[in-house]
Amino acid sequence: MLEYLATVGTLTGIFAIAAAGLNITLGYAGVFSAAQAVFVGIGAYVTALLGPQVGGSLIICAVAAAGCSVAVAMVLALTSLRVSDEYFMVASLAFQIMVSTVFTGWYSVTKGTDGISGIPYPRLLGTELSTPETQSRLIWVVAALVVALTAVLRRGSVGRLFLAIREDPVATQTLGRSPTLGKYVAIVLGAAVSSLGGVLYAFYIGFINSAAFDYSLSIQLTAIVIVGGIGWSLGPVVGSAIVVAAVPLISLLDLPSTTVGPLEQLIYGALIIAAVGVRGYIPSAVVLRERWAARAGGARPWRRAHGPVVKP
Amino acid sequence: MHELVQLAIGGFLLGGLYVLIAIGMSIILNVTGIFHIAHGSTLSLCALTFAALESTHILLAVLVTTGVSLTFTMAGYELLYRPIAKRQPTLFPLFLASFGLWIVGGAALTLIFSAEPVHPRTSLNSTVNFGDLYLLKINLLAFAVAAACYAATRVFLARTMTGSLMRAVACSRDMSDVWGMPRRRAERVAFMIAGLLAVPAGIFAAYVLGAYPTVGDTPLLFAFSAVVLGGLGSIRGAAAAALLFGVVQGVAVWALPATWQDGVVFAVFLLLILVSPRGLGTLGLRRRAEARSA
Repeated sequence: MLEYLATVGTLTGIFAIAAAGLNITLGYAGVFSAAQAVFVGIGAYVTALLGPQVGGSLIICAVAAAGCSVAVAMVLALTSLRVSDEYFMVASLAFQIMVSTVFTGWYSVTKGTDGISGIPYPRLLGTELSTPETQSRLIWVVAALVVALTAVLRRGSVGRLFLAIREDPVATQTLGRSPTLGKYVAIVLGAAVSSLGGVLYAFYIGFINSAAFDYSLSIQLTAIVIVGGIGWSLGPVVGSAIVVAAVPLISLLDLPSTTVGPLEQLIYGALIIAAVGVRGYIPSAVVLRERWAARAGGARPWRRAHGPVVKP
Repeated sequence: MHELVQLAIGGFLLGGLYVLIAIGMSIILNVTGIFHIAHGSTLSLCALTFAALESTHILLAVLVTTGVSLTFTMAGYELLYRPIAKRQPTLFPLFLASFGLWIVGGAALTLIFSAEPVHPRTSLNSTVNFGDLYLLKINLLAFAVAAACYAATRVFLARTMTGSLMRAVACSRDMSDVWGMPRRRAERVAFMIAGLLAVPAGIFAAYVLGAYPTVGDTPLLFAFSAVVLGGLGSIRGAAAAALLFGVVQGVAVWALPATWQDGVVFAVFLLLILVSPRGLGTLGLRRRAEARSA
């Protein structure tokens, strides 16, 4: 039981890292990419193929995985950013299915659905992390770093550019910043972060096959980001705790094994709808702050002049 | 060569099924601006309902399927999209809600029906020969019905008052509000048409592909891409793109193993999107404009 909880806890961390990548693309820049599982898959496959060659060096695998997924993300961005908004989702979904087909069909390299096993233990700074506990610790450290970095990214100029693109691409363009370039960067950055999740996944599980990286993983990552709160840096961790850790707890109920999977899917879907529905009733933090400031009577003159109109 | 023609025609006929889904989605997108992804669940729902009732009486099965399809589609509009649209006027939340409904729909169907494909029996599951070509009767019938539905939809949009109302709303939502047009009615009819078109699609999907809870997913993704490739506002473009995908899917088997089928279709889609990001419909327009200016 304790072992099970430890595994779930570690998987939560891995999915949080993968979802943090999608949070950059979807949450900050507002680009609905349904191809995020591709980058997780590339990270995992690079690790499975390269890991044994380099003795499981985590750094080499991570850098190679990030490099490969950045290259693939550029292809995605080049083709798919030619269509706008919701259509990008269709194009990225097409891309996802195309790459899934390659994962399954390119048997000589990926071993398709049979999968690749025998991935070595990760090696970091000369020490081999051979126990699940040390790996779990490593994963949570990486998750914390990723969350911290995305939070910093969000506050910096790049993050502000992303948010500006999400809110109003036309206004962003009139201010002399290219929305297309910004989206491009968001996709590439998101891909690099997500591939890191794939690397850690492959090391932790020790076995990967193509079925793990099809579009249902993309849907799961999207659910994590939306349920956790779009564009909130800690959102992926919260969403992952709900979607990866809490929802599978229904398997502890005495249900027939065939109903558990669909029931989980049902809950993801319901959570997405609920998250969207509830959002309409919760004003965003900015509006709340304005309202609070106005009520306190302490609204500063510049705030009155430039902020949104708030009636006291 | 003969095999290739055979496969291409098989794919073309299967494309009729994608056309039914694609024009439904295209009408909804144009009139309401909602990307109704949950339409894939409607297709699965129709296929499963029909397969479950087919043994009793075929007319009863068709009627119940129509009822179920309309109920699901209209409930999606009235109970999900409208309340959300009331609070959040931007399109992204609606899109996410539709995405959620798609997942919920697929999961619920898996819980209610078994995951095993059910193939309803029919005497039409035999071939008819045209020279060297062998064609399944059921596929020919499906294509004929799809073509008839397409034509009926075009006539409805072109000739009736409601059709012209829908075209007006599709042209400009704000302007139709200014003129006091009953926009809600146009939206409701759009969803209703899509729900009705899903009925023949679901019935033939049950015969041709078998009825299982995720049967609608691949047609949905094809239709989805066809709507984008066809170009915004072009039902004809969406239908043509859907047929093209059917042919590509059929021909792909000729050169590659069946596991590559979907991948090839979407590779073709991405390549065409590169050539013409606003859909194939604009390709001709641009040429015409260039010719005029020259």
